[in-house]
Amino acid sequence: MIQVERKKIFTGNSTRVELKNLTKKFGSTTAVENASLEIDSGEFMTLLGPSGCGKTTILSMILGILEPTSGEIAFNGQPINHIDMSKRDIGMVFQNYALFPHMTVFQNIAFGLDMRKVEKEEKKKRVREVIKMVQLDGLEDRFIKDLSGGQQQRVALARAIVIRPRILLLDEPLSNLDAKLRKEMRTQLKKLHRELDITTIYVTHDQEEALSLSTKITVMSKGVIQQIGAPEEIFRRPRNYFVANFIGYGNFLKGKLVDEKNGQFIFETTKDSLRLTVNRDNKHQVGDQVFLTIKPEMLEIVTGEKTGVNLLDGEIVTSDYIGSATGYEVQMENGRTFQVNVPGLNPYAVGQKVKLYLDPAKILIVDEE
Amino acid sequence: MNRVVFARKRDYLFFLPSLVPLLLLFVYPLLKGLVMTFQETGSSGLTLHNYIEFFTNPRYYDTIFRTLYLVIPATIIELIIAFGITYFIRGKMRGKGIIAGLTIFPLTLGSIIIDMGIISFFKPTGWFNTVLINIGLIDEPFKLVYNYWGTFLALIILGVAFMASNFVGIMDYIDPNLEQAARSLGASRWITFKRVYFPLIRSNVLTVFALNLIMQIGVYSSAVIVGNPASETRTFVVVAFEEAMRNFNYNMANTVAIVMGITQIVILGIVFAIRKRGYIGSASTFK
Repeated sequence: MIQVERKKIFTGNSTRVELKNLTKKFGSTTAVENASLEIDSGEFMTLLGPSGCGKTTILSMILGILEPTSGEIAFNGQPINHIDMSKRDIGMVFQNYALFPHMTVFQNIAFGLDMRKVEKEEKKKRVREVIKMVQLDGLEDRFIKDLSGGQQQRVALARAIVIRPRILLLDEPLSNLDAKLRKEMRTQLKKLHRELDITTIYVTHDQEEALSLSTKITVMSKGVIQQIGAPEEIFRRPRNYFVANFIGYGNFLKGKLVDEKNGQFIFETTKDSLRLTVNRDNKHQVGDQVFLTIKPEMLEIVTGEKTGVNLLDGEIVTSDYIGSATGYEVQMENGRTFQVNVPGLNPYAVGQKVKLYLDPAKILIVDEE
Repeated sequence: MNRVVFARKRDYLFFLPSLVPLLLLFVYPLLKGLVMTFQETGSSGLTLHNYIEFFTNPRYYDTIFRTLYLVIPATIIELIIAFGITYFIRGKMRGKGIIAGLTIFPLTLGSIIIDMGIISFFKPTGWFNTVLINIGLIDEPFKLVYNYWGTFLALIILGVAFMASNFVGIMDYIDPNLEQAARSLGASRWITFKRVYFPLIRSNVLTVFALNLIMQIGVYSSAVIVGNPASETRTFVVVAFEEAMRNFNYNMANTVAIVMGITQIVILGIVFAIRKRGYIGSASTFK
C-alpha cells in the first residue's frame, strides 16, 4: 500500500535522456569522443569501464559541471546544454557523498527542498518519507561525522531523491563500502529504483555491479563507447576484444577466419598458425581479422583417447585452488598457454601431460576493435 | 591502559628541551615585567602609580585608540582583499602559483624593506603621484607617507600576505564536490557560498584574522618609518620603546606593554566569541 503511494508520487517525473555526438576535449586529450546514447524513461543505465575511460566525464557533462566541447544533451527531446546546473533538476550521488559537514542529516536532506522554497510542513513530510525509504529513521539530528560510511551513503541517496529529480546520477556510490555492505546496498538500490521508477545513470568500473543492477549497460574505453546492450547481451555476446576482456572472458587468440566448412569457420592464429574450428555466427565472414575467446570454465581437459578437431596437446604448469574450482595453466609445446578452470579440488597434477578440448560451440568470435 | 600512561610520560621528556627556553625567554621576562609595572623607577615598593598615570594622561591612554584606529580598519580591509584573492584562485587554476606567490611574497621582505618601498613609490614625487598627476587625475600629490596612510599601506601589504598565505590552504581543503552538490540541488552560486562554502571556512578564517589582528597591534617599524610616530601613528610599541630607550623608564614601558597585551587578549576574546557562534568542526566527513 505504502509502496504504491510512493510510486505515485514519483512517476510522471521520469525523463528520457539523449546524448548526441557528445565530445569533450581537455587541451589536446580527448576524454569523450562522439558519444551517442539514448536512455529511456525509467531505465537503469550503467556506464562501465576502467578508470580514465570517460564515464565520469559524461556524468559531469550531464550534471553540468563540465561543458561539452561539442554535441548535445537532451531531456525528453529538450536540449539542456545551456541550462545552469542548479536548474537541471538532477539528483546526484557523489563518490565521496559530498555531504555538508555543518548540517544535520535532516538539514542535508532538506537542502534541495529549501532551494525550491518548499513550504515547511510539506518539507518535513517529504524528508521523513525518504528517511524511511533509505532506513535512516532516528538519525535525523545527527551530524554527518557521527554516521558510518553506509549511513552517509544513504543520506547522500536520500538528499538526491527527495527533490524528485528528473534523473538520478550515481558516481561509483558503492566503491567506498566494504564487500558485505556493498552487496546490501546493491539490493537496496535495486529496490529503490523499482519503487521510484526514475531514470538512473550509474557509473562504475565493477562489472558484477553493472550486471546485477542495470537494465542496460554502456561499456566504454578510452573515451569511446564500445558496446551498448542489456546485461545478458553484454555478458554473452561481447562485441570486441575490450568488452570481452573487461567482462571476464579469457584465453584470447588473435588471428583470421580463413575458411568455412559445414556451417563452421576455420580460424588460424597470426602468431603460430594454430588452426581451430568454431561455429559460424552471423556477424563475421571469411577473411575477417578477429579474436577468439573462450572462458576458462568452458575449456575441457581430456586425459583419455579422443580424436577430432580442436584438440591441443599440453602440459599442466601451474595449479591454483580457488574454492569451488581449480585453475590450471596449460602450456603447449610452442609456449602458448591456456587458462582452464576445472570444478573440484586438484584433479590433475602439475607436470601432467593432457589434451585440451575447445568446443567449437563454446568459442566466441569477437572483433579486434 | 598502562602503556598509554607510560607513553604520555615519555612525551613530557621530549617536551622538556623546548620548555626551558620558553620559561627563560618568555615566562620569566613576562612575570618580571608584570612585577615592574607595579613599581616605580628606583624603588621596590608596590604601587598602582604607573597604571594611574597611563589611564589619566592622554599621552599614554591615547595610544590605545590610535593603535586600534589604525589597525582595526586595516585588518578588515586586509581580510577582504586576502579573502577575495584566495577565493578566486581556490581549487585548480592556471596561474594560481604566480598569483599566490606575488601576494605572499612581501612576507619574505620584512617590514623595513616594505617601508622603504612605500616611501619611494608613494612619496609626493614617487611613481604613484607622478602617474596620477601626468594623466590629469589630480593636481596636487596625495600625501601618503609619513602619516596615518603610510603605516596603513604597510600594514595592508604585510597583512594581506600573511592572511593569504594561510587562506590558500584553508580554501583548498574544502572539497569542490560540496559546492557542486549544493549547485546540483538548486543553489545559486551566491547561496552555495553563503550556506555551504563560507560556513565551512568561517572558523579558520576568523582564527587567522584574530592572529593577524593581534600581530598588527604590535606594529612598530612601519609606524616609525612611514608613519608619523609623534601623533597619528603613535602606537603602543612606539610609546613603550620611547619610555624604555629615551626616558629610561622601564616600569612605564612595561606598563604600556601589559596594557597592549590586555588589549590583544580582549580583542582575541571578541573574535573568538564571534567564531564560536558558527560551525567550528572539521570541513570533511568522508570515511
